Amino acid sequence: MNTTLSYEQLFIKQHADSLISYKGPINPEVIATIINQLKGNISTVDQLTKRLSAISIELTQNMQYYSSELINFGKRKERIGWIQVFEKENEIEINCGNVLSKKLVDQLIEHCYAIRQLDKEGLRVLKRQRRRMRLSEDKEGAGIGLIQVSILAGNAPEIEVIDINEELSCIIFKINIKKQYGS
Amino acid sequence: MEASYPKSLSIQGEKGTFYVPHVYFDAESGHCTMEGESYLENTWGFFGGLLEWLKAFSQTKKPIIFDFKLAYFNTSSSKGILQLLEFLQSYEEDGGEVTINWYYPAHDEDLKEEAEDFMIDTNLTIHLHAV
Repeated sequence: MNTTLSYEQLFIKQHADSLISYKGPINPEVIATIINQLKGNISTVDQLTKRLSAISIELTQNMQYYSSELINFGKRKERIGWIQVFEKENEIEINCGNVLSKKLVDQLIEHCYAIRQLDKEGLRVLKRQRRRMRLSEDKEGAGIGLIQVSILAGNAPEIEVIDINEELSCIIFKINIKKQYGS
Repeated sequence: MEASYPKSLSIQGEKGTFYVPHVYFDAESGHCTMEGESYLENTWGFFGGLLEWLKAFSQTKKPIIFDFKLAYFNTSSSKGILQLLEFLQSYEEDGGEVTINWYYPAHDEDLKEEAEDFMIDTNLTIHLHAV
């Protein structure tokens, strides 16, 4: 689905009452800070906090590995992404996004479409299949992050795409974690 | 030529920017424990080291008891865990004695399901212990 908002507008329009709202370089230290903030701010049970943390780690690691928006600190390059988390009455809502090549966006849309067709048992089967696959040596993740996010959240991510130019798009994920899901 | 058997392996768990699980692989008894949380800076290097230890220990032909007491691991770590279990599966198929225990908090269905998925993946018996 394409949105009429620009990448910048989409981040700015979000409410100020988030548990966390961050846009900038995504590196391990930032991910740790985000997770610690979430653990400190959420007003709910352990299992939900654990799922929220696990989901946030997978999403932010994807940005750290794949975002096409880069900044340079001298010789060090870091990838840019954004994440906002809101606590609602019956669910936790995560919105996050980053810039990606259109080729990768197309692959992700296809992957998410496949995920959306599956129930939890189907997702577990898909996760097992993909986890057994050999990865190229330059791959840093396991390639099953979005499947795991869907299993833990109890539903698949919604995707929005904003075209930036002929080569790049911004991909935005919206994930709702049910507070009463599973346990 | 005499085989070179490994010494016990000990890795102190840490929780900072990354989460390093506590690891103790006992070369005398074959009792291996991995405990805590796993979200690592170099996942493949970490699990590759553990796999090398298991391969070296398997030369002793001694039984291996592996206790997983993990409270959290990310998806990269889950692929590393699968590699360890796949090796234990091959050791068992070659006649080795393998016992695997999976400890998880009684309320944590997610961790129980992870163990169930590893069992399906490897055909190993993993003894589940809700604690």
